[in-house]
Amino acid sequence: MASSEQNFNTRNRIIPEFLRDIRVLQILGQIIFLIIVVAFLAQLVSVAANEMRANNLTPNFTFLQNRAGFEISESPQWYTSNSSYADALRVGIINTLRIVSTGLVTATVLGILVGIFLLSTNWLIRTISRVYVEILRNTPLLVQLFVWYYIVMFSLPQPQQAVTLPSEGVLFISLRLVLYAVAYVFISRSLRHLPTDAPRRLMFLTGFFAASLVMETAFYLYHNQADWAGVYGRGDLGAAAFLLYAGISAVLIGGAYFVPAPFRPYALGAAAGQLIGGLLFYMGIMPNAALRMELYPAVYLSIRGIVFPEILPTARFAEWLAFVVLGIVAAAMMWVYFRRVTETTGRLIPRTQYAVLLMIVLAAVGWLIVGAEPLPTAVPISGDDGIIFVPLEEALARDLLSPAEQLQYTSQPLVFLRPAQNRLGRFIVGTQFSPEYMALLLGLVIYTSAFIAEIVRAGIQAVSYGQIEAARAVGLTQGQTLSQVVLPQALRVIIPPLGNQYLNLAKNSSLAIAIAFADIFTTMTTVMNQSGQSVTGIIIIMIFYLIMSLSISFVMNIVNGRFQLVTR
Amino acid sequence: MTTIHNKQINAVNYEEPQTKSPPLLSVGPLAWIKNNLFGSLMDTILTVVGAIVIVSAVTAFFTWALAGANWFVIIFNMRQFLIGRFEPWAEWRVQLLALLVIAVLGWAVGAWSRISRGVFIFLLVITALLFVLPPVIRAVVPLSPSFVSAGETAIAYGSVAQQPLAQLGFIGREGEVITLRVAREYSQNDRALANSFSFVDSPLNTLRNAAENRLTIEARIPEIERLLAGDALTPNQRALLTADLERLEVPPPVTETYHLNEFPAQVRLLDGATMEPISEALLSGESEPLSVTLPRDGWYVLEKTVPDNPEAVTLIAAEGIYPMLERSFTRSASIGPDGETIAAGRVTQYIRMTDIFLVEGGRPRIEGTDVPFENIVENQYRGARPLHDYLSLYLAPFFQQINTGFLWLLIAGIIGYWGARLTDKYFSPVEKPRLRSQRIAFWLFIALPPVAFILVAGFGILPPTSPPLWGGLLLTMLLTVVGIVVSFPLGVALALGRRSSLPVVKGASIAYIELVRGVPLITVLLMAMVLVPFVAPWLGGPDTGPYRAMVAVTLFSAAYLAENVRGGLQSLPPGQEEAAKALGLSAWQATLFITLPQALRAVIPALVGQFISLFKDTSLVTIVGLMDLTDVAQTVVNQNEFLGLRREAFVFISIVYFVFSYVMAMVSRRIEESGSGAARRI
Amino acid sequence: MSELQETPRATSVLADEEPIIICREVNKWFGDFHVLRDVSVDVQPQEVVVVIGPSGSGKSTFIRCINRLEEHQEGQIIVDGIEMSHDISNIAAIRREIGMVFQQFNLFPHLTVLQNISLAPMKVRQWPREKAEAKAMELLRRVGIPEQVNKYPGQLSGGQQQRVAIARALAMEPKIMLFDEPTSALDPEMIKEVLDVMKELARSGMTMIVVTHEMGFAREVADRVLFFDHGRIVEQGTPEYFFTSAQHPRTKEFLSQIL
Repeated sequence: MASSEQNFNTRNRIIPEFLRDIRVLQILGQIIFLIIVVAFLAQLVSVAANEMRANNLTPNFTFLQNRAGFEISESPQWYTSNSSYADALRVGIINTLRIVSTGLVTATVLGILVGIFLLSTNWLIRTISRVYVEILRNTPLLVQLFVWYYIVMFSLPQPQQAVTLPSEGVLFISLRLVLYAVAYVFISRSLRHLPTDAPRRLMFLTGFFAASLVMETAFYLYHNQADWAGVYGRGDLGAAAFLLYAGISAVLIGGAYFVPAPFRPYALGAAAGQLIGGLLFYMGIMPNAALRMELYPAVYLSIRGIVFPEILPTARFAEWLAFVVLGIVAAAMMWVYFRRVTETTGRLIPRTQYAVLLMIVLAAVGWLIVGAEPLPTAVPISGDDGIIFVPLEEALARDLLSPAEQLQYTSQPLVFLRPAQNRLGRFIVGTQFSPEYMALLLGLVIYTSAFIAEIVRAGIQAVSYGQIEAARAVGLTQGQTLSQVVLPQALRVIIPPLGNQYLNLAKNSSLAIAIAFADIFTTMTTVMNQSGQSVTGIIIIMIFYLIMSLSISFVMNIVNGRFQLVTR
Repeated sequence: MTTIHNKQINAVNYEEPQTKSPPLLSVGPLAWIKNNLFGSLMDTILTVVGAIVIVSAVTAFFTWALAGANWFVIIFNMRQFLIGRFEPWAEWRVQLLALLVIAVLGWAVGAWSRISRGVFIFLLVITALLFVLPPVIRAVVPLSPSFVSAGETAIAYGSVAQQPLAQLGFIGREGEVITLRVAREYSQNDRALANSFSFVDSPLNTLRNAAENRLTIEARIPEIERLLAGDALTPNQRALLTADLERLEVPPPVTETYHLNEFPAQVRLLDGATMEPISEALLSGESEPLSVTLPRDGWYVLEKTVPDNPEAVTLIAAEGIYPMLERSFTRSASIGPDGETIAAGRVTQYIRMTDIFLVEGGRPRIEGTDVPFENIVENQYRGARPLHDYLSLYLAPFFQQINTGFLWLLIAGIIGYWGARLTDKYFSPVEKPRLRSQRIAFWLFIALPPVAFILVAGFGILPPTSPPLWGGLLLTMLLTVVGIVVSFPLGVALALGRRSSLPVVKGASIAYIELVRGVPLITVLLMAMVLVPFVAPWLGGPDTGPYRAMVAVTLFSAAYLAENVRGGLQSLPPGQEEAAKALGLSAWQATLFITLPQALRAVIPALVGQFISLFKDTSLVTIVGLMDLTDVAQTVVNQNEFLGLRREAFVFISIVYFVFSYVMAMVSRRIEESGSGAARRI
Repeated sequence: MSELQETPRATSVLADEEPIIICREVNKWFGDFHVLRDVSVDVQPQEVVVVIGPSGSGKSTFIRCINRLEEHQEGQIIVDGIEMSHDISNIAAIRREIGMVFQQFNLFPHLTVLQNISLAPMKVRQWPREKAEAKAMELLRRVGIPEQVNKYPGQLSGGQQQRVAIARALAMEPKIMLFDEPTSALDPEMIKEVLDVMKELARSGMTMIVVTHEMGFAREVADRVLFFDHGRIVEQGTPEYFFTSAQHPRTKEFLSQIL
């Protein structure tokens, strides 16, 4: 005791009192820490600045105004090699944001889908998606990007042999098949109101299809034998076909009433199928009447990337837009009104369907009204001898109008231009996405989707099974259970890690440099190499990514706040 | 209600409970199939679609891998994939390091887990197979012959015209038998020619293309006519097809044009060193094959002509002549396997692609020019290589390549494993039977990284190696391990700093962590590459790339590690710290002895996860010009002789990455499940 | 006794009404384990049936089969004239008529008490919001916690949560209520408040099947007690009969252990 007291006293004497106050100590310690950190940073900065000065470089931001002098393959029209470095960076930022925004949405959708597959009761689907997730999670994104770019994209065909969707050709849709489908839908819907008895309904439909199949086979055999070239579709079917039809019909319809009760639905279904098929046949719509549609390619996939049709607003677009906006406003008002009606009276009104319908109707009506406005019969063309008026058709036929004027003299509010190639295979019309863009997007989306899938699976599994049972016990359907009970609870587990994956996707977009897609990082490295301003360049990149990361975190935090549970 | 209260409802069931077996579809494999594959209509559809997708994907992959892919690119460059261009004289250090690592891992397995007899036998069987299979395959399935052409006419197809070579150089081993005969099987008609495969020379390849083209045109014309007769064409297609039809013309049969195998071929085999003829013969379709046994290792020349008709081409099937590869490099002086000094200088090597048989030095010369050799091209299989050729071409050499290394690693692992077991048996106290081995394992793990670094880099203790030559899996691993190990203290300090009550320390930690986590690794790497030389001039030379990458990886990893450790600290119940303080421990002591050890134990799975993700992320050093595993794949396929073999290289490195990550993930999962990682609850 | 064995469905002769639940020879297996063995029971409208038995005897599985939370593999279950089959519209129709209360409450933690109760009437019965909420308030008053209406389940005590769960089940205006050990997860002082609600419910004429260990409740409220053992109904009878003159040795053993 005594010795410790003595110690205490000795210390007392050596250390002044204020230095024994824990608050003072803390503040002092922090000041020292701060000084060390600041000194270290200052040292770094001064050494770096000295080094750079020795290389005739001064870190500053004014170089951004200098001429860039390089082309960017993936840039808006306003960018040329004469633009400034700042413009080049702007292009890079636009490209990064394009990739990130598209990537976030697609990765989420794909990830949720795979996540649900991971929980499937189907063993095969579960296993396939498990393998998908494991392979993607355990190989580096960079390797995957190389695979997408150098292997998948490079093995696409040349533009002249591009894979197209749809492929050019003629599509026949057999009317008979359409009518069968209509009959099937009609019959099964009307059966739904019968007393709930699944087997009987099944028997009916089986009969229906069996009879149809027999009919079809019989006609097919007959047709092949008789070689009816040139006779199709004219109703000139001959006596044999009629006899065939009449025979089968009579047997089936007559027989249906004599079969024993348990099998009567079969027979009735068969008779119905027979009747419909036979009538179609006999009325001459058969056997080959079909809708003939010419299909032209809309999407081209080739080694140069993917090309979509171009959608261009014409001079009349603004007028049509007014109708669309009107439709949206009206639909929203109607939706709100119907919801109130439902809540007050309990009368169910399919308000969403009605609202969508109203929007479509108004847009269509607007299209017709706008399109009905007559075009000028003659258009002014400035030629060698001043402005002359040329009839519109002639001007179009002789290709006298510039693209902008063509859009002005079009009656439709929007024009859809199918992609078109010149002789070298370059696409002169169409919205193009480069193979670099596609490879990067595919790589990021598929890689991130594997992680999102795992998060979704874990989130859904975190909802206790009792919740699902309780939802079933109060009578909610499977869909309602998912949307009202499981998802709201799973989301609160899912959202925080999901936000992390979004951040990862945004940051990983910088791997664009590996396949030379002109995002901010790639552009900035080019700028840095040309101007030597590496310190400034790196600072700009870091600030950009920090802002992007912080914005994503901010949004995800807000979303997360809305899903937290209130507990005691 | 009272009516129900009647004693008549009282009933007893005296029967003994009897068990019935469940209905067929509720247990057993049938029930499993019903519930797991065909539970509902939707399930059935998904099963069918999934089965189609999986079967086609797996079939496509294996067809390619077995019958199409050229795995020579892997076998030939295996050293690069593993250690890059690491100096050959220091190779033993990497080998020793691999053995040490495996021994320590084996020790760890022995200390914390057990290997079942099944796994052990499995490993032994694998090792045995690696040794036994190559000779068996070589003995049982000989390679398909090469096919070369003789004649004087140029074979034209499209813009290509190839004339058969008069002389063809090749390398062979002493005692190998060369058999030459006329390849009648390819000369019957164009279809036989078009279906030819195996190793062929360029003229024959052109012949094959011509024959295939002719067959295609022959089939195409009626096809177009049929399409034009129907009405399933758009006007555009109709115009194009009509133009095609006018343009198309069926050329005469290729076999007839070149009088294929109609005239006998004169063949002569010369010794490449002396240019003395060894054997010669006039080969026709009916004559006996010519067999020659090679007298020594080295170069030989095959002369071949069709003397009777300059227009004719004759195809020769040659067993024992296989495609080769030429490679030149500058070698520094070194000590050879027999102790002799190998001088520095430019070296040219010729390597036979079927078995890596290697000849150094110049080619034989005829009339002042090197004898051509490279016109036999491997892989004219076009996806139709028979399985036996796959086995003898790729599988046997691959096994031969890895079997010795595998055996050594296995031995090292077993030594480590039994070391741990025996240590426990003799030195551990009874109440804690694994205490000693686990203690030792802990220290081994701590000692391993510095030892590894000394072995690889030298570091003043061993002769230094050149960092820019580090590469492949070695560099990938080195970066990962350094990234985790060095960043560990930094990460722990940051985690503690972030939880500190001192605002400045806390603020600085948060700023660092969030700054690093907010930017991509590639920017940190770039910064290290560009800025570190400014700050630390001794890291500025061209030789220091890997060191700068290590700095970047460490700085980057520390921020993530700090977050993981913070998670572990937060998962501890607050009572732990309170109890420590109540016992009179200072804040530092409480952290160091109570909270931190528990927190670290709790985050072991997270740390393994970070290790995996860092392992994958090190591939980014490719972008800043280091030669890691990914970069080796990229470099290799950019060499002339391996152009177009990117798939093979990437499939290989993907498998390497996958195996390592997946194994680590499995270990992490086992630690998590066993609970030894979790903070122990009392 | 022999007379009793000849009339296993004894209740059917007692009431003029059709039974509201008919179970005939119900069998169920978990894998190879035979959980329910030829269970046959009829329940009359307004009858209160208490199911007791040792744990693992299949009593919970039995009542979960009645609203198809578990699927039986053999036999017939007919609820309110609708036979339980694989048809989803059948299952939905049956579930609409049956309310269920769970041992672990299973309230939806992301919804308020009011939303918990009004969710199903609005989504399943398609009631207007006003009606559903009025019904919810009425039920909350009935179970005695109207003041908790806007709280979240996480803010309530166990007893309050279970009472909300009862109100939630009642909101669908079911004809039958199933209780799966409703008081087992509760602290002793909260059991009474839940049992009081259940007693009140029984007095109001609700058809109830209750799996419970509360023998006092069974004695006081039950019209009939079923004793389950090894997946079969070993003995059944009125409470007086059951607690005083049970015959089967398993029943006696069980009663001697808990009383």
